[in-house]
Amino acid sequence: MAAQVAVPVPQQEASPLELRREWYGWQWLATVDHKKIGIMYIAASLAFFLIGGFEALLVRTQLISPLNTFLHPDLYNQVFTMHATTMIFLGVMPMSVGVGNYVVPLMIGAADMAYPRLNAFSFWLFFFGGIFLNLSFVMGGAPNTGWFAYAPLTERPFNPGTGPDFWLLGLQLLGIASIAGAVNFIVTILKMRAPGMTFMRLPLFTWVTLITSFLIIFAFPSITIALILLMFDRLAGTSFFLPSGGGDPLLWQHLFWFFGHPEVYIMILPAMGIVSEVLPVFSRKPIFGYSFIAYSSVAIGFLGFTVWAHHMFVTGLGEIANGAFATGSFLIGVPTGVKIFNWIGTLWGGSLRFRTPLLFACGFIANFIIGGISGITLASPPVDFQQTDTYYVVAHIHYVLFGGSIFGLFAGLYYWWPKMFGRFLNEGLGKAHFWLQMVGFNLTFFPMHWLGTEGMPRRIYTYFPNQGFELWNLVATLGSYLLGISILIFVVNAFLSARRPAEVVPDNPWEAATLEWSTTSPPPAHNFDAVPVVYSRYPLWEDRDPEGAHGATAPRTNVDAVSHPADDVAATGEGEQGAHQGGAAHAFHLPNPTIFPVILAFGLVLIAFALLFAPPVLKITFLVSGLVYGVVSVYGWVRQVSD
Amino acid sequence: MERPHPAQPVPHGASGVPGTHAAPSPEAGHPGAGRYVLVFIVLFIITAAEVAVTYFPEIPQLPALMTMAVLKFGLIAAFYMHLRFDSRVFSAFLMLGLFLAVGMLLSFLALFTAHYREPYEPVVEQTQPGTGTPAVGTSAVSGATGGTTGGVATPMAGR
Amino acid sequence: MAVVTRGHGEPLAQSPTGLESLDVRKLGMWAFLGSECVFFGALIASYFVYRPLILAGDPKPHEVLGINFTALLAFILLISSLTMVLALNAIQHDRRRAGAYWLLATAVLGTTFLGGQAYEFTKLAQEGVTLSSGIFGQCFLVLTGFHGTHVFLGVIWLLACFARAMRGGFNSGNYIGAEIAGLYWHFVDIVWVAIFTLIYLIP
Repeated sequence: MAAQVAVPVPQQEASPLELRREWYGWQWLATVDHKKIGIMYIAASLAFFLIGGFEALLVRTQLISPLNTFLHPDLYNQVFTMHATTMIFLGVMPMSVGVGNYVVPLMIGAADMAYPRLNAFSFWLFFFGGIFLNLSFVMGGAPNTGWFAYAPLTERPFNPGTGPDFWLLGLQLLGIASIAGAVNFIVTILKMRAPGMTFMRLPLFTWVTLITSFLIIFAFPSITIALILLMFDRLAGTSFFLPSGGGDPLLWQHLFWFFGHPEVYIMILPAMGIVSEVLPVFSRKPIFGYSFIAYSSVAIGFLGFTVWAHHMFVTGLGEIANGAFATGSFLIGVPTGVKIFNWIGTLWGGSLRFRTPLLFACGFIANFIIGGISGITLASPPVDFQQTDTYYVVAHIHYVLFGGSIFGLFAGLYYWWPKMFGRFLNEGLGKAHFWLQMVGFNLTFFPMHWLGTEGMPRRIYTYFPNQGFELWNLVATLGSYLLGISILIFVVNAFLSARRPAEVVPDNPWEAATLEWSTTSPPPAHNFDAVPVVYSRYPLWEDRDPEGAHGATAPRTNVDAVSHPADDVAATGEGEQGAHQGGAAHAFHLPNPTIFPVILAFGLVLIAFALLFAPPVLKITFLVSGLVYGVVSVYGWVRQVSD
Repeated sequence: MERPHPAQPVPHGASGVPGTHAAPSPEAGHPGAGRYVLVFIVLFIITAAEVAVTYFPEIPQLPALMTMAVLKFGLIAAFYMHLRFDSRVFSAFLMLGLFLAVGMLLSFLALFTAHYREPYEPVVEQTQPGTGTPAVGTSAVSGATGGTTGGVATPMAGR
Repeated sequence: MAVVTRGHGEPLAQSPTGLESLDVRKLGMWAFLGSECVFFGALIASYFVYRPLILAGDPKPHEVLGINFTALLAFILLISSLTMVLALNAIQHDRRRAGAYWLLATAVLGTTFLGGQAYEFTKLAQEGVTLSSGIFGQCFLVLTGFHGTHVFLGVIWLLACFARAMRGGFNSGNYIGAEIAGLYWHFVDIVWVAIFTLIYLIP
């Protein structure tokens, strides 16, 4: 049966990287295929990641020496704000979503996401929202208030430009995209699992995607409200966060961090899931403490909602509140530590293959331990009073978001690349990428711990020669250039892999255990020729050596195809179900490509522009056209669904 | 809390077919029209009682009103939204959202009232940038107006 | 936890909650409604953070908000919830025409509610309570305005359902479209139950 699944179907589809045939544009613009959407997510987030990285290099270049005048101070503010906003909302988050989009349906044996059109809508709204945010640079100034946009600095009296408007409207669009995507993931994972794929057999990456999606649907409404109130302040003359009108700027911080703290887990959990997939494969042994990893992810997600005010110790919450929030923050160290021990336990005694994905996964663990420990120090109010708004915090956030999330995501990209494109990334270049990135990363961000402890404030655009900041700023900047080179190596690697002649990548080149490796590389449009039936947590491993005989170099899969209802009845004693499944497998038809999600997303962006523009003519033009696009596309969409 | 009922064993998902399965028979879960009208009458009475309570200050308003609101809430969710007859998974979504919303409301109330904070000083429109606090705001505010040389001087001004 | 088998367990078994029998669209709707809970929770929390200021300000809420009028609005929404479940009930029993008309009645009642809210906002504006008039005006209008926006979207959705029902698009085997519209509608009603108590009634 295994062989059946593995047989490559004669398929017309070219590798997604071959963009030469006929006119591919339509196939991508109108696609509802989760694999294509996933690839578009990854490509777009990599592009935004490069932009954000370029902005980071600008920031570091400005700080290379004291009293540097490389950047105008105002531009500096815009650049560091957009660097953070881009990396968080347009880089790390969508890259996790993209990997999840590609991998999760395959992992659970589904043919697509639960709502393929909504999936396309989420992507296009994210993509247009990202462009909208970046257009601010050429349309009157980018946001310049830092990524958490503390009121009242964002209010009109203090910030009359359009920067904050771009920021709040852009984030509103991205929030809608995220919530729609998260609902999609939740329903997909709850409903579309292959027969036998119980929660305790879910791959861990799918587990964390589910938890992340719950975090998104419950955390994003908070920032939605914060942005709405800010929008009313800026555009309608209210004063929710303006003390002169009776408002309270502190409310912004609470609303923002009620979202903002779950947000950091939204960014780190997928990377943790990727690492939990990569480690067992390259250690050739099952993950150590599967259920501990799954449940500690749940615990992290839950605790993540109880600790938001640890970002606000210096606002004067009072001892009781500080103590409570500090306690919660320390508590989060427990499930996180559990996971780290589980990962190390997975490596321990494993038969390690130090391929690039494993290198990145190990880099993740090492860096994340450092970031986690600096996080524990910051959870203590007295320490936080000293370190807040210094480079110590900058070091911490980069150790968890870059050293953690980005390293984890690169592990995932190297790991799933052959599945996505049917080609490997070059191993030598991959190793060079890893080591340069590892060295560059630590060179850039480790000195920031010292800079922060010495008192260098974050977001300051220059410093004086005699303050003791010169050496480590210089080192950090040089390290950041190394980082830039390492990312370039990855880009070159990606292009080379696309240019190389097509190779025949086996279904399961890494000898991995999860379902996505049981189909072809890249998978056909319908993913699986027959719905797989899952009997264990490691469907492609468990049967590897059933009789204790050797010679299992090419592992037999333990994936049943449900195309044989009779077998199924015998195996499960649930004839009805099996027959139903078998019938359904062939009844499934993928939705047709549709352009309406793109149009709807575009209409929403036009409405955002309408809110942004002051001249009435522009405002009305954009509003009306946005509404027309919206109405037409919703109508067409509904017609398609109900047909 | 994000635990999507891991204790419930085997939901073999529906094989990736959104439309084809399910459609449970209508009578299976949903009560009849008579029950709906009955629920409405109860809701009507509670609402009238809510308004009536506000005319009698001697009744402890907060507990009485909150009890009745929770009752109405529960009735609508249980009967009109069918949660009483539907899967507990649906209830779980509502309860999670409610739990967070109520938790947020209560903790905000506590955070904003339990600890005395100095009132904000009246803000003069468009304060002179760059002379404020040296931490977060400085660079951003100063950047808004400061020229190159003015901007360089900023950190010193804060000091 | 019988399923935590790592070896060759049973692939299929019936789960007590029946995740496998849940409708995909309904599940998505409930996930969205869970999210909406936090949305309105944050809005109401913002109102309550400013409540001491609102009560100290001028005009005071209870001076300008008419409880009796709002109770009427609450009744209208409650009735619309009743007509909504009756519509679903009729559709499920293949009384299509009745289902369609109950849907229309629900939409009309929703529109009546919106009209009442518009009247209330106008009256408040005459008494000097606007978005920029102070802390009470902005908190109250944004909170109830966003509820009104939800009602507005619900009315459009209900009208679409009505059009579909008139074409015979719903029947006893295919009613999920109407049911999820109903879920959204009842949720909007539930939010009004909360707002009515928390904003209007509590002294």
